[in-house]
Amino acid sequence: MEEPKTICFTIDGQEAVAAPGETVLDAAKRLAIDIPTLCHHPGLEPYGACRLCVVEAFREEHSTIVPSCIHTPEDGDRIETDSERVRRTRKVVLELLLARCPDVEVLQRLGDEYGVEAERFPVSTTGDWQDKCILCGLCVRVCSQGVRRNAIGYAGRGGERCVTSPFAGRAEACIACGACVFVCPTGALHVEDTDTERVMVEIGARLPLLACRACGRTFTTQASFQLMHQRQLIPETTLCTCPDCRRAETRSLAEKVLTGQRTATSR
Amino acid sequence: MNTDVQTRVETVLDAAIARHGVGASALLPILQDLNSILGYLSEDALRRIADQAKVPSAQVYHLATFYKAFSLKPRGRHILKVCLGTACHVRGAPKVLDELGRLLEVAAGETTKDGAFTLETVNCIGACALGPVIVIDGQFYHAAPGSIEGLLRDFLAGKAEAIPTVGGDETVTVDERTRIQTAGVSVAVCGGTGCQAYGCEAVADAVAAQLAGVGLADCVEFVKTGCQGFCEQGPIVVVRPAGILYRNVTVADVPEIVRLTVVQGKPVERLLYRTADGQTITKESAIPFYAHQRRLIFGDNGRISPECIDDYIRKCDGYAALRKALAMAPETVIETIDKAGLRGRGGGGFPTGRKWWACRQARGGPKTVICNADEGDPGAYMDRSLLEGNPHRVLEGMIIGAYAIGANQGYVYVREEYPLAVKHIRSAIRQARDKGFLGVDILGSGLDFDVSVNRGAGAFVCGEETALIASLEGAAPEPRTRPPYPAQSGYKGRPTNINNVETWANVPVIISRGADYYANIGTEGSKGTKIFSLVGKVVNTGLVEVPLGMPLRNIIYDIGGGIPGGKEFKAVQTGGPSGGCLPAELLDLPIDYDELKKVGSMMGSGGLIVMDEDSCMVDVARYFLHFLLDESCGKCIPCREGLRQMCGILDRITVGDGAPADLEALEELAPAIVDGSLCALGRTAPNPVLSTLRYFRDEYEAHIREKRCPAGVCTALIRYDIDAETCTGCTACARKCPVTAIAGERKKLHTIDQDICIKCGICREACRFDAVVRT
Repeated sequence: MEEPKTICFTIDGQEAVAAPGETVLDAAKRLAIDIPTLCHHPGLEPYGACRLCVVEAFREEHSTIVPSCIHTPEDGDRIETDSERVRRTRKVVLELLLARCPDVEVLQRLGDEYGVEAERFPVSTTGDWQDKCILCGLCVRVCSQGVRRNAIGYAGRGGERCVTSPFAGRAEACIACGACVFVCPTGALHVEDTDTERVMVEIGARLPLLACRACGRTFTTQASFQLMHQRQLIPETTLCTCPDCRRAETRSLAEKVLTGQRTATSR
Repeated sequence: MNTDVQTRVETVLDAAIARHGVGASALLPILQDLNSILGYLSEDALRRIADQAKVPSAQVYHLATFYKAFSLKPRGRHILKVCLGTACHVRGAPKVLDELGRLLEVAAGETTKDGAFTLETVNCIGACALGPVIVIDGQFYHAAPGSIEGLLRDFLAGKAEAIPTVGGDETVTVDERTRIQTAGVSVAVCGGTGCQAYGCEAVADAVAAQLAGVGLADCVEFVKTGCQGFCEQGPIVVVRPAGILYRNVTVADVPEIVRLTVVQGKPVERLLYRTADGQTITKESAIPFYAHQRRLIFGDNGRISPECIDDYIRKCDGYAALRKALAMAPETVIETIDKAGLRGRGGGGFPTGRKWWACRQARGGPKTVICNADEGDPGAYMDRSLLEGNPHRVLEGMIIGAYAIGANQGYVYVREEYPLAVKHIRSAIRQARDKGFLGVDILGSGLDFDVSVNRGAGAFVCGEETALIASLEGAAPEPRTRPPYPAQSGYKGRPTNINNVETWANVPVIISRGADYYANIGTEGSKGTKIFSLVGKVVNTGLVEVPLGMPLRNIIYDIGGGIPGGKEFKAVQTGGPSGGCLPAELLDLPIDYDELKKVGSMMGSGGLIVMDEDSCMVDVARYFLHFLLDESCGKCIPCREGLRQMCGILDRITVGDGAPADLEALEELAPAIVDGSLCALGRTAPNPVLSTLRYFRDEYEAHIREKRCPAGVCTALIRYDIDAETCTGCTACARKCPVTAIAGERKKLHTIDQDICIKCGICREACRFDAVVRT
């Protein structure tokens, strides 16, 4: 079979290689070249919405600004990740985001890095959790592509677009797995446990918790357990065991095996 | 919830699913069916759709809130839509909306308390020549500011349509009858959307009835055509072969047209076109509006009935180009298109031949071709008129393209705002199937190809090809990053070729007449003719087709007849919302793809919106930016947040709160939005701001530094006063003022209470003594 061809190009003057289909961001990571991202997650399909990862791609004399999370290089391309045009675009993106979400730490830090000074644009906040949401869509994508529940999505378009549960009510398909909270880069989403329930604060879902079969502490929702069980990814007993007990059981099993071996050897 | 309502939702939904199937790609048609039959989409209905069409409710909710056509609240008995397209905007649409809001006591999107009216807005209805336009229950009305109250009253009172009057005792002699038969007389009544707004349906019925009444129905051909382009002067009636054109025809004129022109061959003087200096012109071809055009693509619209395939075959040599193409190798067809130099008419101007090659050579299948009829540019309606007036030409182009590319499935994606276009292309497809031009083994060539029609639901972004594909698939219409291009991976991952309506309509012409013929028309880089929608502040509004490279001046003055009312030309806006405004200094610019780009605008789909001294360029920029923010999908940050900030800045400037630093901010935001945005909508969105800053910076300065709107448009910066010297106390202004801000006794000086005045300017128009002064 024909060997897949490797693409040779440069990033900031360094020789870089990429397999067909690999993105500039993938190749840059291998070279430890830092490119900031907000809407990217290696486990999810690239989305290209935040435009923070833009780089300047030169092909012959011509150059364009492209999102490195999606752009696949071609032989001989010259990529600049820190050109004036790149920095200018990223700076404006950050200024715009800070006008929307002034209190988000990761944006403040990046803003400092790119020289965003006093707020030039009027801050427009709504007073609710959307003030921390940059609409990167990671939560929506992890729920559809990862968990495959589609419990949350978007509503509206243009300036009205927002992340929401369907009909802006309780997200009925939500299993309170917490994946959306985990991937959210700005801390806009939260999960809280009561004694018996897990509450997805912004998404408006409350689901009964499941107690560990070993120690009796609650650790996941019954709905998450049922989904994992249906998909038969992990044996039922393991699923019903909390991570701490799982580790403890594995440890004790390992000890038994090792002790058994030692006993066998000494015989 | 009421069980009757539930049952009704169930019944409608069952029928929709039976028609469209289930799954994502059936979702949009299902939502459209329920929305139109039930009047709105209730939460209950949406939940049932999600459940039965097997689509996640998050997706259903996103689509229902994304598309403008859908309402999530119950609506009134009558739906009243105000067109906010560019041509309507420059002719006073914002005032019409204000006036309606005041009269009905509702804001846009709301329903009156008595449930009679729901007031909605639409971003261009495609009746640009008639602006400002409102649509009540699907019927178009010309709505001049100040006339709305009467219009609503008439609508509620009567609604009775004019009944055609037939003259009683007309007789036609044997000689006359023979003359008519020998000459092959035909009467064509324009049935385009523009003429419909002026009542052409009644005129057409009257013509048919009159011809029958005098016993000529069998020997005079009566054709109700699609749009002929001269919309300003509608309803239009043309009697051939003499080629006599009548404009502004009413039902009462019909007996005379039949008696004098059809029977005796003489013109009816008073219905003829008149030039500015009062001269009458008898022949259609001699009217300057037509004389300077070259109607290669559009000309047949005036001759055929769009719902009759035989008309197209007989009069336009229809489907002969298809036969010719099928006898050629597919590669040769593409070479011909390539050699002709055809470039995409939808806006991008990409060479069509190259696009076809890319799709032909792409691996995978089955391949798909799409006709992009989601003509969203406000102020442009040529695609609507082509589909309405000559759908077979578009279809023939698609079949030739499918053969060249090797595609088996075609889609026509039409705006839902164009119901007549949907109807005509659907009937064209049925007829073409019956004749064997669509289906299996077309004309024995081995080509299997069929076409279906999908409707948009009110989203400008769907004109972007990747968003259109997403919409067809039933996903939210958000553009995707290219590459991969649709030619490699488009509809459902298949190689897909998308061209717009006008591009497809050019294809049969090129195949019939040859690449050389076509390439001889136009300029070095832009070949052929282009249809422009010439609208706004121009005497002859309508659709004009000219060779590419014609200077703007010739189009606006020779064809368009210049600016009405002795006003001065200020700018012409080209290229749709992402185009630019060009000043008088550029009137001699030859109009083609490359020249327009050089001066900071673009071709777009061919809208030419003329503005005069009464148009404020800051207001125009603000209008376009708000349009684009409203129509942006909202996915990427530079477009969504950048346009939001630009709108905020322009809002501030137009109310007098602008600061000099605002212009710098606009100029810094623009390149970042251009560079950073995901799709063409965002990448070109700053153009209206950049081009007005480039050519009309002084107007921005006046707003910011002097708090003055030179054109007198921005209401926060103007005031109306009554001049004590000239006021005669006739009370006309006070009677017309919609908010009773004017006080004064008869024959005494009137005064305007500035606290009450809403600055609509109706008083100024009402005053016959020019006593109302705007400063």
